Amino acid sequence: MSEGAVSAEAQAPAAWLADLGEARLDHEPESVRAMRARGLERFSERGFPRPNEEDWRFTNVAAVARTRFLRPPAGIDTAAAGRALASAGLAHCHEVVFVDGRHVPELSSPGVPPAGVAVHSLARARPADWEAFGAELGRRADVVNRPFAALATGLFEDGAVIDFAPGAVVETPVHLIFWSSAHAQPTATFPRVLVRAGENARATVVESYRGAARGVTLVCPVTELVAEAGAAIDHYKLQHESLDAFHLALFHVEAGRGANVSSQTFSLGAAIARHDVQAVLGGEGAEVTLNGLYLVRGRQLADFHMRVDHARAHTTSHELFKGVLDERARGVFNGRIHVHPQAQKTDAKQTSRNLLLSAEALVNANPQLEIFADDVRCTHGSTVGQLDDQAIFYLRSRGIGLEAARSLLTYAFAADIVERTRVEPLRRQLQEFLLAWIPHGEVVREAV
Amino acid sequence: MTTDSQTIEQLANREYQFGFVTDVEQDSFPPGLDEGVVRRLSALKGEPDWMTEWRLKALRHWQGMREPTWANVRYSPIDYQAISYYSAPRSLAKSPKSLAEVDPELLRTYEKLGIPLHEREALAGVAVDAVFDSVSVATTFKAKLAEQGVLFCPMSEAIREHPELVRRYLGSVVPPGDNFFAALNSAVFSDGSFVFVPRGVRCPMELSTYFRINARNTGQFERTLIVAEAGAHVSYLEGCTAPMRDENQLHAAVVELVALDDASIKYSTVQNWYPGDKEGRGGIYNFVTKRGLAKGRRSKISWTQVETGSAITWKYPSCILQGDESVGEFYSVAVTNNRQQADTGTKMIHVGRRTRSNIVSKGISAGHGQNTYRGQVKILKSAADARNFSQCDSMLIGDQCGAHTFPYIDVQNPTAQMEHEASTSKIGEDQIFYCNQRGIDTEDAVSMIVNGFCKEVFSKSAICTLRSTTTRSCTASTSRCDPARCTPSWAPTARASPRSRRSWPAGTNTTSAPAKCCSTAATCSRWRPRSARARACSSPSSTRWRFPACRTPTSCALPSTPCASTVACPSSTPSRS
Repeated sequence: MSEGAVSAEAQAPAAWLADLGEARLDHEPESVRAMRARGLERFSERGFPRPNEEDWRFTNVAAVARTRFLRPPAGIDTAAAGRALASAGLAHCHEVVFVDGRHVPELSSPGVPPAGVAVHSLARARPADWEAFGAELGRRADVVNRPFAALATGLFEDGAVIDFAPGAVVETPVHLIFWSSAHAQPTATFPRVLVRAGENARATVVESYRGAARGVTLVCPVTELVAEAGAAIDHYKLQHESLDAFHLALFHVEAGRGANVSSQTFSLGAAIARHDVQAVLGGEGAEVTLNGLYLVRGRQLADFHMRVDHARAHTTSHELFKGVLDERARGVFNGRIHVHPQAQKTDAKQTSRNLLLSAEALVNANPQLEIFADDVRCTHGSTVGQLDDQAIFYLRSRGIGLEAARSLLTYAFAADIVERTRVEPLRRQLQEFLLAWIPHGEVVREAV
Repeated sequence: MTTDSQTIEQLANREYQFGFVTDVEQDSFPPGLDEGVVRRLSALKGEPDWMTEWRLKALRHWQGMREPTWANVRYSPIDYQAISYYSAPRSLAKSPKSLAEVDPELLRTYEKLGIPLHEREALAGVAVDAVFDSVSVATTFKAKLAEQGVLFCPMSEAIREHPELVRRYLGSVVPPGDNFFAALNSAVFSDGSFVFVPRGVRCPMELSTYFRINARNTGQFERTLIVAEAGAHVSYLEGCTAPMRDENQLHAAVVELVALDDASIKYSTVQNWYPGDKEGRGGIYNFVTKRGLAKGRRSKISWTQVETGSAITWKYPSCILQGDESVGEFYSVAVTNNRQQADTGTKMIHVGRRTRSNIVSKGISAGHGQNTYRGQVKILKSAADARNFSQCDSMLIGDQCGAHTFPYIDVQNPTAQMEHEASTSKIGEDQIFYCNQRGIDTEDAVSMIVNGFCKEVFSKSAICTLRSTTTRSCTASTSRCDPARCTPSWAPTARASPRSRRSWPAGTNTTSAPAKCCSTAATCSRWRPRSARARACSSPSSTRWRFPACRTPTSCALPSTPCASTVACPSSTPSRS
């Protein structure tokens, strides 16, 4: 694919967009239609991001631009999807299942959601529902600087709106599953999620993006999470798409006064996985924790673009991202902490650690600090390297073989993030995946 | 807190000390830049044809380039046709053969700046090339250096007298079309220093260049080239100042270093261009390209910089670590005050095996200053077992300033180990309170904390006055010269030559030689303040310091690393005393 061809397509995404057609939901209010128009207009105007743009230097989406994506066919094979999803479900969770971007009540948890929780599918929302959340949807997601969020805003067909009532303490996690099945043609879906946590609500949300083993799909989710004063939200996102998939996501989190949001992202699948994460600490005393783990091999690319805005005083943010790269995989980490002038007493910490298992793997890390207040404590750290020779030597000197020692250390490196998961079934799933993923995982299985 | 902020405010309001204008007749080109100007400049310098062509090629390239906008600095557009590209004192037109022929007004200027140009009076151990606007005024100790085979001369002279060397290395590290400002410099550079240290020679003295901008409406475009052949070693220091003017003046320099097998080059900068006034009017735009090529095996390039001046600094001294086991170092303290903006950092490009690089950058922002660290560590596939450590810390003084960090890390080899750390902090109320509680006043406490913050850089530097320049610029008038840190192991130890003894007779204490007190303290290995309020570098009051074991002139009153007195001692005289 030559550069010239890419830019030609990038300049004229009209044909590309035409394949996907228009999206319009029943009862959709005028304001949402206007928002869609703005998103599409913005995307058409700027085109596909090019590698000469600072934010897309290391992530070339030319493959997305040159692939013709269609909407998934209307008829859903519920039984097949159900079989595929059998292993994806999490015990003791309230599950809301979307297949090829559309809500499937038959596969979702039966009955009403737990007390204090309201779940709406956008496609099935009634005018009264739209009244309740129409104004909030898409209010925060940045469509100006995030091309794929603009695209998704224009084209979303379904999604979930989850409301946690003020003061509700919800023990049961809400699990959103987005399943992409394999089709003969490349397909595109644009899942949309809005999570609103009322004052002092406590809840857990899990988003799983899964797909068949192979099959080209484009998934552009936009998730907006708003935690009002005093709310405490645990958020997990699992990306385990097909190895041919493109996953280009925006996650926007806004934490109000004294709110506490903890989010963990696991990026395991997809050929290109791009996670734009934007956190706004908009109230005093807000605290946001963003952790992430990516395991990539082959020619996979995982890209995390973080931006944390400390807009008010006494706010705290912690970021810890770890990556394990094997074969010819690539990792990109771009973290930006922006401390606004009035955000005194900010405490921000950002760490990116990358473990290279092969000579061909490549990491581009770019942690950034932008600080306009004087009374702050901000640190960032970034490391890239192989396993520590001394640690390997220590294990070998105690009779553990070289391969086993390497596997143990790799497992320990990644498990650090996995073990922070507070949803037990999800943690077990991740541990299983990790053990299967790392070379000689069976040795570790005996040890742990 | 009120006292803190008041003190800091007072200190931030301090005037620039080198802002005077020397009144000499100048010959300047009319403003504007085209091929004619470049040809005229080249002809004036008596350059060979290849050089003229080289310049013209760079000019043509520059004309097709656009000014970069990615740096985190803001300034109104520069009109490159409104700048005069050559300005020289008329008295230098006849190129004086010796110092006796140099216009006394020029010599007085350097005297005022504390630069010794008279060899007999100059302190042993440093050779100086003094550049005034576009031309070199004088270069000292040329003969003595020549004995060892070291060439140290103005660039224009090198082009005339050593064309084969210049032609071989000029542009080999920073090609003429490297970037917008490097291309501009390649077209119009007027002077600068050329250093060539032949195989196996340890340069017997510190080399130093002092840049002075004097004329109005001019820019300074100097070009420095330092070549160290196999096994050679050289340490070089540059300093710079300019008059206070309401207009902005452009300084676009290029520095190239080449180190062959086992060679080492240490390049230190004390940048003190006029930073503009409190409202940000005037000041120098310092757009500099500096790059070192560690070409040979086990070669070493070390950059140390203290950036306190300039309205805008845009500067990334870099190392290309090409030779196996070569080493690159970058130690920086950048201070921005008032409306100053600095976007500075380094690039370490690891090419060879087992190459190592070390980056320590300390940024201090005060007033409305904006301080950005921008750096890149690139470890190429070929750089097996490369090692990098980066640390960039920022300190904020006041709530109107900003500190930013943009490190780029590209690792293409799994055997590489790279670590990056950054932090931002302010001088804590608790720290000040702790000091106050122990009888240290706020001003001293601030000074002490800033010193501590920058100590990793100062400890790498021969120039104890780096410290005083910094503390003076950002916080306190006092600076404690910690002698242990002023005489690093690599620095040539001060020689007790009879000459220097004569000029510093026994019994001469620091009071009678205020400008040298700083160096004096620097040579004392054992010392301690009598009281916490004593000021080491503040001239008369430094008699209050007690140097227990070094009363004798040889160990105490002896000038130490002469570069200290070269550049910074005038600045170490505090205005408060």
